[in-house]
Amino acid sequence: MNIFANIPFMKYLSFLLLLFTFFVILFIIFVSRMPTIRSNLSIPLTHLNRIDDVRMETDDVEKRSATAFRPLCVKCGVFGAQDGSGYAEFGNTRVLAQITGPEGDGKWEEAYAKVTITLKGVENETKVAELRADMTSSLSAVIFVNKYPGKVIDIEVTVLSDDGGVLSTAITAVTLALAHSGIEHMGLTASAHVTLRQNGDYITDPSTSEAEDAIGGVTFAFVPNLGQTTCVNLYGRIPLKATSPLLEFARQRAIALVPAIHKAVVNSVKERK
Amino acid sequence: MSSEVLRGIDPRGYVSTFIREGVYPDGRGLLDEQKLVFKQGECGGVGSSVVSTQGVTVSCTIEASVSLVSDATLVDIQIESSQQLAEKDAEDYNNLLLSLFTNEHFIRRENLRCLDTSEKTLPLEWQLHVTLKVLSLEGSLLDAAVCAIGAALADTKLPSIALDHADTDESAIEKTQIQADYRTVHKLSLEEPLMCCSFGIFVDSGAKKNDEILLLTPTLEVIAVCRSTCSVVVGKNDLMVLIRERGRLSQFSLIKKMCMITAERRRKFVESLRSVV
Repeated sequence: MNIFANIPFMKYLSFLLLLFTFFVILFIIFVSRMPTIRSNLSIPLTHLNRIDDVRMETDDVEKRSATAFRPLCVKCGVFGAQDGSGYAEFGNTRVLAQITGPEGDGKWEEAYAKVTITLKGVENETKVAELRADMTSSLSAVIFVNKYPGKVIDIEVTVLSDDGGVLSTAITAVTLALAHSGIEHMGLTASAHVTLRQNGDYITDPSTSEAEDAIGGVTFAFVPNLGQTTCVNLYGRIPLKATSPLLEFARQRAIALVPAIHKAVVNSVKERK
Repeated sequence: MSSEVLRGIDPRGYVSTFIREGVYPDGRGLLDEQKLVFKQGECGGVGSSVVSTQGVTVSCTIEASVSLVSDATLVDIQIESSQQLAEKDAEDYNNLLLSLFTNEHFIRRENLRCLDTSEKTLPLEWQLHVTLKVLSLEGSLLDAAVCAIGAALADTKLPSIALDHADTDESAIEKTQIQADYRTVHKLSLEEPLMCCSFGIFVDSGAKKNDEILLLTPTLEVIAVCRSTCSVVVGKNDLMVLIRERGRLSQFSLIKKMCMITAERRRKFVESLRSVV
């Protein structure tokens, strides 16, 4: 039996085996480094269809009357280090306002103070611009800007969560921050958000889900001691005849908030003492 | 000379006068802890918290998305820069906090799998989007940020997912086949909460001995005159997770002391977090 006859075959076999081992190692390295699956599918939880216990939610909505606000919490003076700060919470809408100044920035030299508003926590840029414009107009109307020539008053508004009525909540937070800062102003601003249903019913301070069936609404800001309005933000399709009663209803709701705001300011003064 | 003038023209001399007496300018002891206040579920999202400690107030909101199982990063962090926090610093803190997630110190990756009503894992994963808002900044941001993330994760509740897609079906999962079932919600299985403490090392050049003095959670005014600052993050079983040192430090025994203080503070935080949950 000639065993040497098989040598070239054995060489060939061992070469193949070596090559196979090499490829196996390469494959293992490749697999260990490569991603298992790459997917661009990413659906925010809020965009998914919901399966809810609907009965419970309906019960909650029915409990609140048309003139009642959502559970609210207002605080005048949140941070000791800031010049002025205020917090307002209506249901799940929460806003914090902080005021820095009045102080000179070395650039502003006019005979009156410059009021700047920075809005944080709102992603939609159009909404930021709208909110800032409404708030600047409402607040500039009450601050005695002529008493602070060459000074800048920075107001930083942080929307912690938005579940409807963010403008009225923000105005309430800023008026509390103004009261805390000691900046001279004409009076406290009370603000309310009211919507109108197709059947003519009003909803006071609705959440986003409660406002779904509304045809329009208004955010109304009002200085009670002057009896003057500083902000009317009307939206939706409201019949002309219904506008005046809606504004009057919103004014009444804003006035209803005044005792709560006064109480927060008085508590802040007591805490300082 | 009034103290305010001294404070303006010689801040180091002003601070060292107090530190020689063993107190900060506000009267607090050099190693006294400051109160840590936290509140959960106040800022929307699937989980949130507001933490206030040492003059820093931070809100943390967690939003969730559903994605297919992959090896992509499941957590992203965004620290919103403000007037008090520069964009560059925000990015630095962002990377630091992200590394804690990447190294699974907050939560393990396998615990981010979506569950159905019977707690069976599905071929879907939760992606968490963590947003930190700095509401006030008069000290070290990292201390409050780490606690805020821990508290927000502990508050996180995710709905069960109803997936209308058979296991044997090889077609891609569509958005319409996924539903969030809020009748059963799940809490996240977390690692033990982390605690971060920031320290300052002060050297009094006017004293006879140039000893390094350890300061717990110094204010920004004191940090400005410190030789070095050090942030220590301690995790489960009092193990060091991260140490971030800036400046010069010669006594390594101080690091041990920092870790012990942080571990002690972590135990208190964990206890109060458990009592809330």
